Amino acid sequence: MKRALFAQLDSPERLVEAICALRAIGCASLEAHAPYPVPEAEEALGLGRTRIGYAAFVAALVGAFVGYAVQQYSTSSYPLNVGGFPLFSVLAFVPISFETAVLFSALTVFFSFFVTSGAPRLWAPIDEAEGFERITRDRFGVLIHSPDLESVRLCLESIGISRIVEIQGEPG
Amino acid sequence: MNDARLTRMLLRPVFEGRAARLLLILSMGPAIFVLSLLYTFVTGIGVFGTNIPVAWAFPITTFVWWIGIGHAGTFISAFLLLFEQRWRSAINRVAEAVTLFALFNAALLPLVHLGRPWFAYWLVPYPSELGVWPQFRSSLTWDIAAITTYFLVSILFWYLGLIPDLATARDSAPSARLRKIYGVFALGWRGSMRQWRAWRACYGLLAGIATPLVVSVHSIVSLDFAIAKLPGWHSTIFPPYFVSGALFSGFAVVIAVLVAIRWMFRLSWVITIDHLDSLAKLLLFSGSVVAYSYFVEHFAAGLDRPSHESELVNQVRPFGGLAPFFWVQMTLNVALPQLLWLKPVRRQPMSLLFVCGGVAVGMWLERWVIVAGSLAHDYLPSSWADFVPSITDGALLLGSLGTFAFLLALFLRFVPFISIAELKLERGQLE
Repeated sequence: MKRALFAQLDSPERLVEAICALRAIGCASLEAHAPYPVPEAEEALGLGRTRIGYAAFVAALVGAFVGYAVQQYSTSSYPLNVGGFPLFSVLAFVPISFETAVLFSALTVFFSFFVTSGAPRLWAPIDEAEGFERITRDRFGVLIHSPDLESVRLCLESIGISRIVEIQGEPG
Repeated sequence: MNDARLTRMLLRPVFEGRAARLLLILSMGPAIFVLSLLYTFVTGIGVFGTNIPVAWAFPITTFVWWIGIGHAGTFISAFLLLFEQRWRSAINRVAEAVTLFALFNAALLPLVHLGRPWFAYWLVPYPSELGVWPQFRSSLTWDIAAITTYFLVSILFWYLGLIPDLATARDSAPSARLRKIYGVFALGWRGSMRQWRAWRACYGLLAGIATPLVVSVHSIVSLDFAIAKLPGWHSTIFPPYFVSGALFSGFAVVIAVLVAIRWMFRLSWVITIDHLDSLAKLLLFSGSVVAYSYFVEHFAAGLDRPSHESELVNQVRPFGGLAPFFWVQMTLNVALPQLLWLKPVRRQPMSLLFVCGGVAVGMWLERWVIVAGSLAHDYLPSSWADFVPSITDGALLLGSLGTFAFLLALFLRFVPFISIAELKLERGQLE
């Protein structure tokens, strides 16, 4: 069975400090939890930038193309002379193409959130950890997977962290 | 104040709120709305005062007004996020809710205006064996795309921003039932750095996407008018004119709602006078753009040789049958906001409420003068006729306002309406 340690801290500064200390002793499998985004901790964990922006851009291009294609096709496939507008009224098709670009892009971003964040996962063993409910309130935490949990515990204690709990199972 | 206390204080309205009586009273609004809608659908659109030549009247005016009000919420959450205006975190959730509920009304009213709303799907391109498609060279079909997109993106943006706070509500819930309900909506948010990274990226991107969107939506709404060849409508100034008017009316409603919330929930420590002051400046700025647009509209019409345009804009509006509406509009939209140059007016909630109420009414009248005024005075004097609203028109407007208030009350009762995580972030960075 997999085991992990969950250490709790009081400030974002301590969080970054703990992450750096753990990485220094060679812990690779780390995750940090916080009530609000801490870019410094993301950096310390070595998380790069997401690639959602590229996906959003591609989706926007696809959206614009689909929007334009539907309008052009429907206009040409049943040609009606309305107020003398030409059948290839490129300018008249711009607004909807823009809107579909935005729509496709926004939907892509929204669903990328699910893919990259692992949501929805309504329960995970870490939820049972004592004090974990305070993560969304005012506490910060580090979750460590390691074959050698004893040295991890020693490392955490050496920088003065005492609120450490052990988690059984596959933590979130 | 530490973060635990902040969380508790901000979640208090959600967990300890008692609003059953107020919600019951406010449910009159949706009741009126539903009844007048049912009456309209069963009887037919003849129950409106709408008739030829004034074929667009109350529903369209109110639609344009609502969708404009929605713009301020997106501006506050998206523009100000991109410009890293940290103070927005105290007010953005409420502003987004105003957007959402305004858009709910805005999306419904054109359907009512259709007369036979069960054929509304004719407006979207769907493959049919008839091979007949919507007429995409007309601006009315652009509207459908713009409103649908705007409504969907607003919901996504609002919900994404809400997820961390729903998790906070889940973890602080006093009962197992509430914990489960908020837990489902929080989608298993655990505040891990990978989640925060995804959240920040997506939230920022949606803000970036919403920013040009919001400008495009009211531009497209204005094209409904500008593309038509009617005096008072067929004008190139319309897109920026409508967008600034939209922000103007939206800021007014957002400020009014914030002043009310601040008083009801005793939140003057979160929504400070400085917030109101900054918003009032935005109101004054957008109001100045609107005033300038009025000037250009009348000046450009005056440049023309005697024409229907100049006659309508510079004679019928200020001196003809539209004069009462026109002058009230000018007083409320141009003269009244000038009070905001005075610091004491900006920093006094009651005086702000007064100005904002005036602007909201004034902006409805502006749309009314544009929509119905032009239709009543087109190129053919023999077809000129003034519009007389019916009781159903009034009931629908009242019901629409009531529905907005009811939805807003539901939101304030059940959803964390101040962005708790962002507020903590803002405080964390200040210290």
